[in-house]
Amino acid sequence: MKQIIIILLFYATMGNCFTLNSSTDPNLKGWSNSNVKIYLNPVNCPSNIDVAAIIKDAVEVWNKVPNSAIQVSYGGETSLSLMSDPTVAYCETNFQALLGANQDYVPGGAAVNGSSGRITQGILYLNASTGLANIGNFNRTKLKIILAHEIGHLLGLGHSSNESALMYYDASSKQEFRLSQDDIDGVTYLYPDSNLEMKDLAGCALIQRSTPSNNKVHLVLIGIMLLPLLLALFLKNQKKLKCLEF
Amino acid sequence: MQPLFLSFLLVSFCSNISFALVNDTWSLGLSYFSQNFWSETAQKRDGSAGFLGTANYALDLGYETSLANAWYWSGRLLYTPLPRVADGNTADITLTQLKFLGGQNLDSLGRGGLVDYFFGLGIIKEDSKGKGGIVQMNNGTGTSSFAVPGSSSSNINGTQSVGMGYSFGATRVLGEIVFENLLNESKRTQSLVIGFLYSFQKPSKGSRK
Repeated sequence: MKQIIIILLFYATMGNCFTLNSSTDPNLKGWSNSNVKIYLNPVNCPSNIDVAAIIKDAVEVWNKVPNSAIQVSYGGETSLSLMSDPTVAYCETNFQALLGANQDYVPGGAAVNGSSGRITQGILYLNASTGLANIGNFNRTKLKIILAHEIGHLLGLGHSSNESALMYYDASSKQEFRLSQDDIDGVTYLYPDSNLEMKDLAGCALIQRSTPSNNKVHLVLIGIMLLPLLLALFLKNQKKLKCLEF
Repeated sequence: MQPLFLSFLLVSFCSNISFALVNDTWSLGLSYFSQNFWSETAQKRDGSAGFLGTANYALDLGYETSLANAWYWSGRLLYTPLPRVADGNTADITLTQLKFLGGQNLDSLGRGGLVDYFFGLGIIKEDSKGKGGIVQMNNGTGTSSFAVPGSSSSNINGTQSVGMGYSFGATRVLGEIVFENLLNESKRTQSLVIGFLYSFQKPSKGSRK
């Protein structure tokens, strides 16, 4: 198994990577809802691995990106095996014929559809063929890396030219499950999160929270810390700076 | 950017004007801003991390004023005039940070040197500006076309800072850790800032010491 070169296939049908998951649209902006669920059709999955548990682990690497709003989660089981919203992970026995990828080298692929610059549907194929790259032939860490890479495609990222990136096309030498700055830049670009935004306004109504948010507290504290500087500048202008010289 | 940074350091250290850390001081310098440091990101092909994060080089403008008992208050603005270029030249990433810091001077370390510590709050804005276009990249079993991001995106977040400084002459060297999402265990990250600042204002009797 060590001799298998893992090449992670990116396969997209949307019009078709940090690049984006599109061959034509530089303005692609990911899913309109940053809470993305992935369902699993386990029917053909190898019995020796818990694909659902690996999906749950794999999504976390994306959920930890500091300034991205993306939140990916495992939604449960489904019987669907087609591109859909919410997106589906499917163990494909006819992997090579369907994706046009060598089943001895490619363990997974992901595809998305979209319109108006937004991803609307997705599917994640896992190699359940008789080829050497059947996902049952990989250890758990490698499978997490494979799944996380394909989930990156589902989120709208294409391949990266940076070898340290999780979105680099070749994962054969990857041993540790971690994003690079390039992956972080990509997902932050697609799903920026401004945690200082006031999110209490919804429609025409003002929703009051029962307790003040940390964001507001932070802004208030910054304002308080600004006061001494403003005071000093004011006093200086008034030629009263000596008041501050102790 | 690195030669410019080194040149600035040389000029700063060669200057020996015997004032610094005075009351009501403007300062300007360059800072090395290491995003997501302390083993946060993969930096090698096998996914392993390095201690330092991603390098950004920022202009650092500061203003400070003295308070009582060797305490001081300052505001600083960091901005990266030359954006960091994402791998593959697909996007320019610019950082802007505004922060307000309180600090206190510690004992002098001879030769006019002065050590201080500081802490405070701020906000940071990260702008990503995609360069657009289409590139051909490896796709596992061949090459495919991939779109390069073509629009802009930005986020603004709160920061918490803690650090120490050392001043000699008109030069101040500081080391600082900037936290983001400090209270969110899964999204917490930290950046390392090493700054070299030059004080412009002439000495006054309001020394911070």
